[in-house]
Amino acid sequence: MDNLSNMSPEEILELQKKNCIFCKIIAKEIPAQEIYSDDKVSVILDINPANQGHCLIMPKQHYQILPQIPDDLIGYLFLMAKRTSRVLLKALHAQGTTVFVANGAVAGQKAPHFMIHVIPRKRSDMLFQLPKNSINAEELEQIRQKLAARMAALTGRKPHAVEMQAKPEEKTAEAEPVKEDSEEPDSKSEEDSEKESSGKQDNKKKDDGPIDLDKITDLFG
Amino acid sequence: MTDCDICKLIESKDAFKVIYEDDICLAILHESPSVSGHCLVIPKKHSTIIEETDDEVVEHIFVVANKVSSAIFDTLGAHGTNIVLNNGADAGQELPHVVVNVIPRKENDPLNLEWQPKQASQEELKTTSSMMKVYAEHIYSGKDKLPEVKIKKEEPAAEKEEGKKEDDYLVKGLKRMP
Repeated sequence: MDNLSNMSPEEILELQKKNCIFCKIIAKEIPAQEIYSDDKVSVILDINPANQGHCLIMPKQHYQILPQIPDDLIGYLFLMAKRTSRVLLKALHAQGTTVFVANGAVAGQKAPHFMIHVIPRKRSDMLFQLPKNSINAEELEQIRQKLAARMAALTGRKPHAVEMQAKPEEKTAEAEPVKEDSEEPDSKSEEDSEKESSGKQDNKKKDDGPIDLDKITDLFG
Repeated sequence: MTDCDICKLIESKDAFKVIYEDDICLAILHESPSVSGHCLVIPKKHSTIIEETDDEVVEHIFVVANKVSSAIFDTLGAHGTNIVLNNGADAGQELPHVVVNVIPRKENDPLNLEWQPKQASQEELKTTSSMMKVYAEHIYSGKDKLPEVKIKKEEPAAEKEEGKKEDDYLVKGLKRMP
């Protein structure tokens, strides 16, 4: 542990790669049933499948989670997922497939190497279902505004329909946790409000705030 | 195409809680979410299952799904996300239009998307692998296109290719026998 804290991020990444079982599979140091491979991806059979034919699609380069991967490689990986799905339908007569990605340990990610699961499905295999819940319209609209603003910032496009549906104050493209801030009286001195906001940030980190990608990948320990 | 409920809704956009839109797809908030913040990425052009979706569209919708996932990390305090595509009614697909789920995850949330892992023997894996490899080369090369089948006049062999491959495989299998 002490050693880890003295290492640079590059060194840590190097260490992770060295210990990554999937990097070893890709390098053929550990045997696996490989269905397909090219210079960018490797498709293998999961040795602990959810159903027979459960495939893993992995980038050959070591990435932990999807947001770290460049767009063109993301596109390519999922194109290979489409093709894997087709192979499963034809070769194993699957009745459907599930394409599944877990980003982060809380989402069920088991290994620190990004992978797409393509799982052949059979009627009533009861693998898993996405439950449905009701949500009130106000909460939905609040979430929509936050996500729409963030999507605009991430993609460089105009926030979708924010002008039409949002309250007048919502004009910024970078709408972070706007709500509480805008409720604060303007009369406070700068110092006060600065304190206020830094305190808030600390709070956020503890409970509900945005978490950095490093932290998510750190959850693997 | 107009029979598809989702296609109809895409035409009358107000029906959706849209968070992002471009020429190829929409990203919306699910109004009956698995957990709060559950989003859907929907290609505008109709396709029922992913095998029918154009390659460029497949690439694009998952790039957008990743952006949605990032937006969820950034604004909703999620500690993880799941990206799920249920392909086919037997896989739990409910409407006949391709839809990618992007689901925020937190510690101790009520969702359980884990499956029971089975133990596959080396033998089983080998058999499965060789069954898949019959089709793998052809399909991964991108030659296997679902919708438009190009008919080349010279050789009717094209459509027989699959049969031939299967034969090859069987022949190989036979050769392996003592």
